[in-house]
Amino acid sequence: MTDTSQPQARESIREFLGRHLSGYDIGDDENLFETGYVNSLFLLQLVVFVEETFGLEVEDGDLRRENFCSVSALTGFVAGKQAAAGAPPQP
Amino acid sequence: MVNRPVIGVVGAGVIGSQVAQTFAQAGHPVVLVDVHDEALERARRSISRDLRFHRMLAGGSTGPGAATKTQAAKTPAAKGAAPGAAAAGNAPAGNAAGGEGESRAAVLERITFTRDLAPLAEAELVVENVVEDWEVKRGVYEKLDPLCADGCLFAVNTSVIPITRVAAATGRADRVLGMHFMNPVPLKPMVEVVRGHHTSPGTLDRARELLAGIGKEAVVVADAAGFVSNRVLMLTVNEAVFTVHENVSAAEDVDRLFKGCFGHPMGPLETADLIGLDTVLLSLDGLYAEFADSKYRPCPLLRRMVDAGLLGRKSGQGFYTYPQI
Ligand SMILES: NC(=O)c1ccc[n+]([C@@H]2O[C@H](COP(=O)([O-])OP(=O)(O)OC[C@H]3O[C@@H](n4cnc5c(N)ncnc54)[C@H](O)[C@@H]3O)[C@@H](O)[C@H]2O)c1
Repeated sequence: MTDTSQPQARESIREFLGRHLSGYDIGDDENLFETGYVNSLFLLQLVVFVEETFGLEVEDGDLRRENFCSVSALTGFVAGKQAAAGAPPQP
Repeated sequence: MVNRPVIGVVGAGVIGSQVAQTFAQAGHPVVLVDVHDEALERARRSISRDLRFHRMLAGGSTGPGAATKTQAAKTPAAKGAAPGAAAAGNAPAGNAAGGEGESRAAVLERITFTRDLAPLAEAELVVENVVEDWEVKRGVYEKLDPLCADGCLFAVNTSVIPITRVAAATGRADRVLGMHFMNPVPLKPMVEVVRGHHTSPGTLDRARELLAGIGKEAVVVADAAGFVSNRVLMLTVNEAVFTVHENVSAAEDVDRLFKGCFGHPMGPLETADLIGLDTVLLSLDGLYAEFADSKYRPCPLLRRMVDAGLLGRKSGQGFYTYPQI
């Protein structure tokens, strides 16, 4: 997924991470798992955020690094899930 | 899976619950004991949550190098860490545990959550992780000693209490050692093992073996308050708190400097929030008392934050705010 196709989703993911990384300014392609912030509590909050903000369900099979490792990966993951569910993209 | 010996874990707080999880993930039946039902309930929830995300945290789906990559960043100079780390998390924790192969339920089922010490009679090793308070710890060992099997090893998980003192509260000083686990236990490839004055070589060998079985490499150090890791870390954290206390810097900037300049994955104040500010304070008080050296004097700001209930991640607020769920 690119910037242009999912700008709003990308923006809200950035905003969520900004709030949760104690001010750490993460680049869109920077690996979250290498920041030292990621623990299971953080991941749970991230999953709840994704589910509630984008109205989709994260299944256990989706819990893979490649889906959650960066702003870009998350944006792509959300778009993929929404497309699969046939849901209209929402912010 | 081969039958693994029963492991007892006393104290189901931040670190005890992670120790229990790690042994259970490697296939050990675990008895997890706490005096508080709420602590046991909290431990069950956090273990369950951790297992759900374990594969992601350990980097399972992006190949065996993933977990070690973050660890390597934390210990850049650790030449011995590479093979240990590669064996860690991924090997035993990866195939036996939580991740791909086994369901969360299967791992959780291996853990008995109880307020009763009696089932510890079956254990080959008891890892004690109750609060960092000598009187409380002593009380626990006085109960454990007559109850546990003769061959059972006692591993003290403490930040600064000397192992030799704990050993003296038991009738098995040669079978008592320190196992200083690091948070988050399931992902850290190394344990600081402490040899008390009377700890026997056989005890150290068996401890190494049990730790290798859960994917952890042991680094053995002699018994001195704070060992190596906490003595150095707590002074650093305390000095970092002083810089905030004296308005030399904001907390974020202290941490940014450590990350940006020294390549630390987390700064000292984030680390303090992760450990728990109450635990940090107890550690400093302990070092101060043990060495009778004023350089360990806890920063007044740290004490005030603890008094105010700002304990870090576990309370939702420390040097940073953590949204609670
Ligand atoms: N938090 C860390 O990162 C860390 C790392 C290494 C070692 N340690 C050491 O591990 C120990 C525990 O630390 P923590 O951070 O998990 O503390 P914690 O306060 O989160 O947990 C301590 C637990 O011990 C229980 N407890 C108290 N008295 C008890 C008793 N008599 N019998 C059974 N349980 C009892 C409490 O109910 C609580 O659940 C301390 O000695 C600490 O120095 C902590």
